[in-house]
Amino acid sequence: MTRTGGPEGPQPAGSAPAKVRVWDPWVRLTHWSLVLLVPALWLTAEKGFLSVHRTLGEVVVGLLLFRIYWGFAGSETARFASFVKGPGAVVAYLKGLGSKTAGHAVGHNAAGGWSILLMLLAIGVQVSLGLVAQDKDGLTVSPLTHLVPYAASEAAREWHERVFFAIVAVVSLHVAAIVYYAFAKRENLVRPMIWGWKLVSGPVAPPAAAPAWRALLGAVLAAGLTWWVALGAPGVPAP
Amino acid sequence: MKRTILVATALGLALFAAGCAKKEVKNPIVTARHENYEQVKQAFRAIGDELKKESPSFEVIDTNAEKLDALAKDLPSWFPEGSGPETGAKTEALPVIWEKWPDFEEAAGKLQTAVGGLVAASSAEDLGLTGEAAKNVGGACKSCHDTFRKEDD
Ligand code: HEC
Ligand code: HEM
Repeated sequence: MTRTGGPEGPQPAGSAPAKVRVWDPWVRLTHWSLVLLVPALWLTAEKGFLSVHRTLGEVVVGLLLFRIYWGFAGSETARFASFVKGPGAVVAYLKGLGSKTAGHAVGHNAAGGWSILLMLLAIGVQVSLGLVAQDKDGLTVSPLTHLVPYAASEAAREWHERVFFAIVAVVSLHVAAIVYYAFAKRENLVRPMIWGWKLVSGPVAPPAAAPAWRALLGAVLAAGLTWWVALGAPGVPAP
Repeated sequence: MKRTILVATALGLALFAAGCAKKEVKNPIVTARHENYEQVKQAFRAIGDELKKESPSFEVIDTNAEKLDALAKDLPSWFPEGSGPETGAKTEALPVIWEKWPDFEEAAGKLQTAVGGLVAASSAEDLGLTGEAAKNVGGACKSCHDTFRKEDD
């Protein structure tokens, strides 16, 4: 990304802000895909386009599998180990929230990390339920429905309906935090998630970026596993 | 101020109670209909599950296709006049069912034909035809729902 821009918010005099690459292209791609897919999934389910819903849901399965892999094998700011912090760090972070100065964190802050984990968890539960559900007429079944009993598919549909609200709740919290940063702290968090870099004043070590081949390996693994699931997990015997 | 809050609370509670009470209305015909549909659904799912297996058992498909056949023949009798929304019970049956009863019977007839095809294909133990026939049955369900059932639940 070769782009220059003005400083983000007030900068302390003297220290020249430096461009730091915070989000790699893979994190951004998964992020914005999910932003588009979650509302699309809601819409297709509401309008009864269940086969489109199913296909888009399978894409989410792939993105999620990739993101989990990337949380262990990805760039520094993508790794769970780098952004899932203990309760002490979260409390300390929340205490500093009132200050009007931007934090300019490189990567997720202590509370943000947990909201990412919660969103991934909620979406993971949601796709797992969707994969074994059946529609209320039993006419459209999901790829793995035949592997679970009838009653389980019925329960999965009901929970699939409820867990969607959990997704809405955690996403709202996430968006509220971004809005708070934009207005109260005058820090734009959206632009880095689009372009990958942000301006940081003071010395910071740039976070390590994972090589592209590792992302491609993850993409192939995630796509392969998703393909197998979408085919109905051939090889797994039905009960 | 206090009075407003009190009145608002009372009103809210009354509305809530009314909402709950409304849900309580049960109609034996509607309940029985829903139980019948539950059987339709189970039979149809059993056929679908079987068709996904590596070597489907035509015995299982046959049994369920016969069940479906009996249910499809009965289907119009689950909708006696007066068992629609006017019962106050939770139902998605639209009044148009009784306004256009011959059309409704025709839609049920299409299902019976499709299920007949399924029974024939599974007795002939033809896997390809059975799969096709099951799809036709699903199509017959859906096309009746599109006209005679309220959208959204
Ligand atoms: C001739 C029209 C017609 C056909 C054919 C038909 N249905 Fe229905 N179905 C209805 C109507 C009308 C309702 C709404 C009944 C109600 O809510 O009281 C309904 C409701 C249902 C319900 C919901 C019951 C509930 O508990 O709310 C299920 C499940 C269902 N149908 C499955 C099927 C399946 C599966 C098939 C095909 C094998 C099928 N239907 C064929 C008209 C039809
Ligand atoms: C993040 C991913 C997903 C989201 C946000 C999502 C969202 C939704 C929503 C909002 C509904 C409507 C619930 C209702 O009010 O009735 C729904 C229904 C449904 N979804 Fe998903 N879904 C996702 C993934 C999946 C997947 C992966 C599958 C299966 C491949 C799936 C299969 C279904 C089925 C079968 C229904 C029931 C439709 C019905 O009978 O009404 N979903 N989903």
